[in-house]
Amino acid sequence: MADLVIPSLIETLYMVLFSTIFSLLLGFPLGIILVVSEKGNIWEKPKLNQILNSIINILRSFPFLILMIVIFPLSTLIVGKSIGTTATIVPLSIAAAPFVARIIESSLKEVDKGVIELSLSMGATIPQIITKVLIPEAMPSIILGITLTIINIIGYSAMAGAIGGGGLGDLAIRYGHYRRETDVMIASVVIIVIMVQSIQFFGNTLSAKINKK
Amino acid sequence: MIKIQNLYKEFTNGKEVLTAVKNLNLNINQGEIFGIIGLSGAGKSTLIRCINRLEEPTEGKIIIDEVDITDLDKETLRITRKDIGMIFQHFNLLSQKTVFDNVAFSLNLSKMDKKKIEIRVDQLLKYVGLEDKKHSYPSTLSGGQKQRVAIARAIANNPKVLLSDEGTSALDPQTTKSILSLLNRIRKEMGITIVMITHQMEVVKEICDRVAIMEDGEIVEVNTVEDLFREPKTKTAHKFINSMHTSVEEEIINPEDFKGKIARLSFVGNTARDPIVSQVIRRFNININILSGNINKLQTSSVGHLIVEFTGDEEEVNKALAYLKNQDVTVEVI
Ligand SMILES: Nc1ncnc2c1ncn2[C@@H]1O[C@H](COP(=O)(O)OP(=O)(O)OP(=O)(O)O)[C@@H](O)[C@H]1O
Ligand SMILES: [Mg+2]
Repeated sequence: MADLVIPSLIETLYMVLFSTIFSLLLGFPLGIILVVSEKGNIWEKPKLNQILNSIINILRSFPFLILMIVIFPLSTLIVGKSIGTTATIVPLSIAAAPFVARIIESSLKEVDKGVIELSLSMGATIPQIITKVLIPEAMPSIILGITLTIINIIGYSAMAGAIGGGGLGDLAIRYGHYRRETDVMIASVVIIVIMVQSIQFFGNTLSAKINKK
Repeated sequence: MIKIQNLYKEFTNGKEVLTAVKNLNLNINQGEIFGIIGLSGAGKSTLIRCINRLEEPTEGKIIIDEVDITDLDKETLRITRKDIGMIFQHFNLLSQKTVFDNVAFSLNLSKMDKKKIEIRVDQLLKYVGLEDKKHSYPSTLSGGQKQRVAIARAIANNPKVLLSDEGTSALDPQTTKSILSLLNRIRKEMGITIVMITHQMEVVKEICDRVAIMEDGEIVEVNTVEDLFREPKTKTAHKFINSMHTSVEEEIINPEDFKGKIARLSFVGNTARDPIVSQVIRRFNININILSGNINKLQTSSVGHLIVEFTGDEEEVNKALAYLKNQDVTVEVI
């Protein structure tokens, strides 16, 4: 059984790792722009803010499975194929990016308005406020947000397995569901649960450890 | 040093227009500690925030050191702000940064050399008396210590002007005093002009040279602090002086310095007019030594306070205290 489970575990880890990285690359800047472009904030751009908000809301209201089917052609374009683990990273990243943007947005909004005023009164530039004040002050909360993102992506990646994405979800369905090999199914589920639990534990611990508030 | 001319600030909320600052004119001299006092909502914060344009003035000019602040483009304003330090009621420290990094904040923004920053920050921390807190985080500091960090941060760039928006309002009277004396020292040794917003007359009394009294967005009186106490020109000024809390005597009177029992007697309304103290002395075989006293007129009645020392037989003293309580006098043994 180990020779079935271990390759699938590696596939899942691979999908989750890269999807997390790409969704952060897409969602993090979006989250920052959402905050600073808001009315009354340091880089007021109400129109832009409104447009971004609408795009994110639309993307977030798509059920993941549908989004995946819609985006598969795009996968072909980017990675050259539309099934398999590498191909799945594209829809996973795109599905998780709006989520990341919202998470980052809400973390940054928790930062005390007073320290932003202080930064302005000291002549900080907008990029300086973002990198030296907003992000460091929100870091404990951002780490919790990223933890939640990874857990979400693990869930999505298991679903992606159902339509040929590979990984533990795929394994559980192929062996556990179609061939009724319950032990393989149980093993996959247990591994996923352990992964989620340890990531949550690690995220909570790290966030608490760096928080000086 | 700071000239404010015909300043207006309006806030528009839908159709409603609220004029927070109205046709305000003010001259603040170089090296002066200038107080602005007023009740909540008078527009003090709005005024001081116009000085560094955290709030955009609707109309009028603000000239600091010959430069018209209201005329500057964004980038020049940003650079000019480095010459105007500011401290706040709630300190606004970066919670995830050490004391050192907080003080170094403006120096880091100006991309100063790391070694020079280290030297300057150490010097500043020594100046405000927090060398031993260099590596601590703000959450572990007391309010007074936090404000010291904020002050060190505000003066790191050697600003010409320091603005304080209720910088001592969140602190207890003793800590307030120590912060005020730090600010006074900064003014003397660095020649920084300080503008202090406050609603506490004690602050004005303690360190301001001159004071403006603000009411409904306007300045109703500008006076030296001395003249303000000797003969205030306006009713508002009168009210502020009368409302001063006289909790100071409790700091001066240390019960351990006296043999007898020290008590604070408060008389309200009619009891303030009765000769209660002499009645007590006649009735009971004790002595009463008056240490301090005052009377404050409130909106509905007047309240008198006496701090007295009772000497004599313990039992007799207790009887006297019980008698006083019976006469509607509030007795607080210190
Ligand atoms: N951003 C704002 N938008 C709308 N109205 C405002 C704004 N800021 C202040 N005001 C209004 O302007 C008036 C003056 O407020 P300001 O904060 O300057 O008073 P203050 O004298 O500092 O009072 P406090 O002692 O309570 O701090 C108030 O009526 C307030 O509601
Ligand atoms: Mg105020």
